[in-house]
Amino acid sequence: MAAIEVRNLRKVYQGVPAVDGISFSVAEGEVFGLLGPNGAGKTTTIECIEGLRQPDAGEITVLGRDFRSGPNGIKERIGIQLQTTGLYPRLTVAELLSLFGTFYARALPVDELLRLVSLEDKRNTLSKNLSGGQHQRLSLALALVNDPELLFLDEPTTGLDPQSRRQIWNIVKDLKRRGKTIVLTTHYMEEAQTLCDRVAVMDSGTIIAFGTPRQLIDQHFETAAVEFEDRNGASLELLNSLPGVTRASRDGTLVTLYSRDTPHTVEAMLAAAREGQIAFDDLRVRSATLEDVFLKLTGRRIRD
Amino acid sequence: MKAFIPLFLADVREFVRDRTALFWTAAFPVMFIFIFGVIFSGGDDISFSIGLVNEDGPGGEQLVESFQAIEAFEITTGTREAELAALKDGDRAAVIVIPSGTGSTLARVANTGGGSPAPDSVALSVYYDAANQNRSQIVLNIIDKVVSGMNQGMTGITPVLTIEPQQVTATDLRNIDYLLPGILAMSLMQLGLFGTAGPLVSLREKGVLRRMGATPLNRATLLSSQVAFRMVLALCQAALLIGVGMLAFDVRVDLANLPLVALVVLFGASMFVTLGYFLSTLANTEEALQGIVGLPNFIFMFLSGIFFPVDMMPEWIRPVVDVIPLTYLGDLLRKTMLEAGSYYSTLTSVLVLGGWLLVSALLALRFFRWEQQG
Ligand SMILES: Nc1ncnc2c1ncn2[C@@H]1O[C@H](COP(=O)(O)OP(=O)(O)OP(=O)(O)O)[C@@H](O)[C@H]1O
Ligand SMILES: [Mg+2]
Repeated sequence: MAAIEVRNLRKVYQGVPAVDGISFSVAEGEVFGLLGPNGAGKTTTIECIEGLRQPDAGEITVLGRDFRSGPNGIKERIGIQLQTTGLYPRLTVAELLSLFGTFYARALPVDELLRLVSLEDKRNTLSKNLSGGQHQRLSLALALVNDPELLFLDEPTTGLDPQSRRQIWNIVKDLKRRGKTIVLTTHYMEEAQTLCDRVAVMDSGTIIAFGTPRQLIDQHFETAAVEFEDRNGASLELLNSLPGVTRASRDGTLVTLYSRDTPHTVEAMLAAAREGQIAFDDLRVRSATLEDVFLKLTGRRIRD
Repeated sequence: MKAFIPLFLADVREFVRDRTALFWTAAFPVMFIFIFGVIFSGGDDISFSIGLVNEDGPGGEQLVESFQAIEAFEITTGTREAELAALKDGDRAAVIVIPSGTGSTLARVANTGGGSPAPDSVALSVYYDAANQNRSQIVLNIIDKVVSGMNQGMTGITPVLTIEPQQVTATDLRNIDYLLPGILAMSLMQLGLFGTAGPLVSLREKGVLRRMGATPLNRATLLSSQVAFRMVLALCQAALLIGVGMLAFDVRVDLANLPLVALVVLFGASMFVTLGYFLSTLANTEEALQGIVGLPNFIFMFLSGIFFPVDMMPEWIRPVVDVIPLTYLGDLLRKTMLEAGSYYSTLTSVLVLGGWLLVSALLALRFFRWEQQG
């Protein structure tokens, strides 16, 4: 059975649709990612599913039930991390965890939660004195208080340093191993690729691509991306004519060539450079990512 | 309801760890007591200007002296015409006329001792300004107590000397006695304006209420814990202020009345806390709210008669004074704490405060939101 079923969800703000008739479902035990740039409609979507916003149209079932059918115990079974979590500023980490525990019929022990998010040494720190990353980890712990079957994480790693980000990733992977269903939103391609079984790529309130990260990349690119800083403004025409190149794109001075035959493409580039047709710095070859999928689909980068 | 006590404790912790909140609810009113207590301690008491017309010559002198001994009265003697004219001009709170023959009647009663089956009587005429009922009521009250004290003394049921302190009790309304209930009323108002509306806006602005809305916690539990916390806080404030007043300035509070005082405190606090819930709907940020509650705070404080007797204020401002809830809360507290005469009847005060409570509750129910938007 699907943990979440969304059909034709639509939400309009001041005449402008923030979410424009999207449909998808999330299977039990899966990590599902909503990926997209600022304002794509990720938060609106996830908060409609959580029951925190009223959709203007569409149907949503969560764990087999419809939120609109009134209070029905769903809240006992889900955990929510909002994009920004407001907390009583003068309560300590441990006090907040135990307070939230009393809101549920069943709650995990505070010590276990602290250990889960590695905040043991901050248990007596007031929430207002936590660093951004610690606050983020506390809000994750609060989402786990009731040991939920279904977990919503809205940008769990935004604003974290790489180390804290990896730590959150490990927590999410661990939760997945324990069979939780997780819906998360993110700007980070790498995050979606690492954590998600399936992703929906959103832009301007619609889903523009859908599938496993691998599927999406394979579907759009045969092989690798060749990237370099262009110094004398080579024309896209010239670049597209290089052997093996399926697509060339430019973002300022950064040029990306998608190639099905990397050795030939690079060879041809070096030849063209010797003849002075192109000049480049910082040449690198990498495999295509979800970022490239987004760029191809929208002509824009996901993070600007 | 499992969350009721934890939420209550969360409020307590938030409050105790917030120095600003502590300052406004505890230190600020206590400071007021000390400032007023020091400024007004000593002889500078509230007094009423009373005209005394002695038409009995030397025979009435004893009575004149008795009235002069009353601290709350500032006695001017003169002719009936002159004093009544002064009363009409508003220069006197009341005019007492001692008719001729008073002295001899008193002497006769004193000589026959008490228990005379049909004692002669003397009627003192008291003229007062019916338009200024509040003040007149207090003055009449005092005169009545003085006269009944004398009567008792003269009829010998109780020895004269032991009655004296009773008279003093009835009349010695020092400024600090008058002010303490007012300061308590003020702090209850601020509990509503700053101690309720402020935190609510801040919790909403930060999204704390929204986050809790994502849990199964029900709103009634949250609301009742918030209100309960404020009621307890109100009682603590009352205990603190009355305690400080009694210990530092020897304010007389009728201890037998404390349960009634507590009831009035809870009534006033619930009115202002409810008003706070409504006011919290008028702002989205705590800063904006400070501007919105600052004005009523100021107006209520200075135009409500909690610091000055209502009739010391100019007549044109009375319509404002008469609708401010703080006026009635102060008056009601004064009545219950001191058992001194009050300006308004208990019924009037209860009705006006109840009206404010009802209107605030309706407005809060209509406009209050836990979250910024949906
Ligand atoms: N409460 C609201 N009132 C008006 N407009 C809103 C509201 N919430 C969202 N929007 C608009 O809807 C669109 C989608 O917003 P949403 O927050 O869902 O985007 P997002 O994908 O979560 O973006 P981000 O990555 O920045 O968090 C935006 O254009 C936003 O301005
Ligand atoms: Mg968002």
